[in-house]
Amino acid sequence: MNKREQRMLILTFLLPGLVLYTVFNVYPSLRGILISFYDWSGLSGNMTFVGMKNFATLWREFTDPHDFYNIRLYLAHNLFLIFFGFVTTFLGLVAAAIINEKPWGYQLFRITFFFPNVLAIPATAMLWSLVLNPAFGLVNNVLRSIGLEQFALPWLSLQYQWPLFKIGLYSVGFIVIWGGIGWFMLLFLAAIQNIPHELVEAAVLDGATKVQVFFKITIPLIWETIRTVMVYNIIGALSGFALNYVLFERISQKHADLIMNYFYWQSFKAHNWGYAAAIVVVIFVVTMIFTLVSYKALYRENLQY
Amino acid sequence: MTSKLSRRDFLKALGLGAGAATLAACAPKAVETPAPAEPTAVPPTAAAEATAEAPAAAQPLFGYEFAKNKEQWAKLPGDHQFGSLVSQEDWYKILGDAPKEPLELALFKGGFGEEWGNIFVQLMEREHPGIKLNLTFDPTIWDKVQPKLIAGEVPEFLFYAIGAWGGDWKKGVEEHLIMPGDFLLDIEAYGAWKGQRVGDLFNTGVLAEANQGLTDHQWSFPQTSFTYGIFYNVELFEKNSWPAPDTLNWEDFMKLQEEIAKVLPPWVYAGLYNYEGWLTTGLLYKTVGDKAWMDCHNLVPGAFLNEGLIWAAEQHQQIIKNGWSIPGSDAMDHTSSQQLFVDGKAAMIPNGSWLASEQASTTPAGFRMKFSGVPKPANGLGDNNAVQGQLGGADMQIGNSMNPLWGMELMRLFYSPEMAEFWGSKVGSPLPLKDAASGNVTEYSASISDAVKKANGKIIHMYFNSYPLVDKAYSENYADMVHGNMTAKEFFEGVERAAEETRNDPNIKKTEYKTI
Repeated sequence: MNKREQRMLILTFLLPGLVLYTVFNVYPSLRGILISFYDWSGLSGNMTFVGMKNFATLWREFTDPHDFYNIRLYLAHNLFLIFFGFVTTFLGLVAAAIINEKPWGYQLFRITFFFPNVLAIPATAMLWSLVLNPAFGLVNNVLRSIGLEQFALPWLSLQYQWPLFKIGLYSVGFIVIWGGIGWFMLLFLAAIQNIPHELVEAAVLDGATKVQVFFKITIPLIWETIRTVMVYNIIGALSGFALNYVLFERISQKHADLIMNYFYWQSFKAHNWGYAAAIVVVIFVVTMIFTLVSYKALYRENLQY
Repeated sequence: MTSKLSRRDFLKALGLGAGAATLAACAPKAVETPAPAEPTAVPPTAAAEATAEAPAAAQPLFGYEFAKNKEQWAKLPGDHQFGSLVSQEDWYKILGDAPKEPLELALFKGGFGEEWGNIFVQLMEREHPGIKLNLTFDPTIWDKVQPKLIAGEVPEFLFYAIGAWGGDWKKGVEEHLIMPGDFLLDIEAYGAWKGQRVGDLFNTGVLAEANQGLTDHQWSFPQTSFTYGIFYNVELFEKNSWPAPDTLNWEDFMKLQEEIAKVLPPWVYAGLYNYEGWLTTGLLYKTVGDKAWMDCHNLVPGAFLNEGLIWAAEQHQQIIKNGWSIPGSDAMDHTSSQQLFVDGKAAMIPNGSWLASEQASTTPAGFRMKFSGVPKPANGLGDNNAVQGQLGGADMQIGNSMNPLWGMELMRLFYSPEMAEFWGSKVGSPLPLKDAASGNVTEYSASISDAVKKANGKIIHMYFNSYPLVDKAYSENYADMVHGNMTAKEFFEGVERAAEETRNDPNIKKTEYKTI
């Protein structure tokens, strides 16, 4: 097979994927950018070109101190969820390190941790809205039955204040951890299992404790995976929508909405599809910036082994 | 520049992965199309009934250039005298044979269930043998319908299908997705109600109410008389000799709540949906009266800064502050709070009239509940008999479809004795018709019908929330205010700013509201 034939073969295999990706991702994204320059209700085919107006509106809303422009609050919620993403990363890492040691019952734990990933987000939200229901929910019923009535809180409340945010947003964070830990654990586990045994053995022979091995050997050697997961967290937190949308009953909720919930409100409720597209375009740019900066900031020289 | 999006383009874009798809849901084509022509005919509407306008002279109906099926629409007699009865026989001649293709019905699936749809189909099939109906019931019907609307495939009959949660169907009028039902009002009613115009069947004011302030044509129809207010546990009230809320003024009602609180929590509410608002709205209106209330709707400068509004809102704050509700109500969805109410855990619930039907399968046998309007303050300026209704509730429209006249016929048969009885007795939410409460209706349904009749057209609405920004400022901050996280004054200042913003935005179409 000569080089030309090789290229043709590669192209043949790449083409279906490339076509699908172009048609269903690249093309609509570009069209979406185009929409952001139009005024469109989303109810008919009539669209009016408005230039940069949608972006100017977004900027004004972002900088306006009025109560009903909550964009900064939505973004704060997004950032808050990034924090929970980092907690998930850490816990996933710890879970992977423990399971890598193959303690008793580790296979069961591995499956249990991963289980939430087979559930669709709306299903997860429905599940937790039942579990956390203040009146009938499992959590509060258990707490009441063991005499801990005072801890039976309105977990989904958007009025009950905890530090910085309402308790409902903490519940979202908890569900993010519950749902994400298994996936991250799997990624870290695969990376840890690629670390040559002799490195760990040598460290142990030199008297390193398990904690020292974890921080001095494991983490540096799987840093690239950690970095990828961190970036994945940022992207996930900035594009979050479904969990909050279902959990908080599909109406706009000042104390729970993320920026994508606002996008949804503008498009489906206020019928401002052009403006909604502008929001998404800006979020895309912001996400790209966050991603590149964090990827750069988290860069460590690759360790060879 | 105006351009048109083809269905092909739209579906191509919509059928994609989440983020990209939302971005790409559309984009303009290069083809320039003229804006649809405005209708030239101006027939009178039932909405005019509320504003006491005299019926206009006969007007041709052939101005609706936007009608998708112009040929069919043109079958309506151009010399028709509005206000005069069109017999069923004549109507059927206009209507002609049943279309070969199925009529599309886009229906919201909510607390009323789906069974009414089956009854509707049976009725239609019995009256028009050979007719084919395609029903789409969905809890998020607007999501299902939207791609069709953009493609120009508008269903014949729309029930709460344009605009999510709040039914912003007026945008559908602007986009020419809806056909006016003025002619329908003159057609002879069906079955046992023969001899009457369809327009004569309705309770006073509900057609105007359904039209949400639009007065040029009858664009929208009420599916059911969504009535909002207080629902109370009858047996509990009788056992404790507590008077029904609507027999008291607000001040005494507050004292009653104090009494109730000694026995059980007076309230439970769906805080996640802001259902506690059904209590506040009535109180706001009854405190400030018609003029101040309409000033809010017409975005009159300073209208939301009315002292009465602030006082009324503070009353609700007081209820929460006093702990007169089941703990955790602010984190409850509607079914949870409704269930706690029918389980007898709270004496009252601020809710909508779907309550009985939605909780039918889980309501303990023998549980009795009734509706009450919100009591008026002693010095209130509003009408004590007024009840809040319809807003955000079910609305129905005749789609600008390929069979608009059949959409009209569907609407006519919906307002039939058979459907009225089913809604009143089985669903437990009576249609907003004068004779809806006759026959076999429950104590619960009768209490709602009686309240609506007593209101005599004084239906309190909150049309100002059809301005998205005002709605956002109100609904998003409302719970904060009620729970004391902001003062009532701060809350209304925010709404006032949103009203000012809306008022000053020339791109937002304003409606002049004349009645509450």
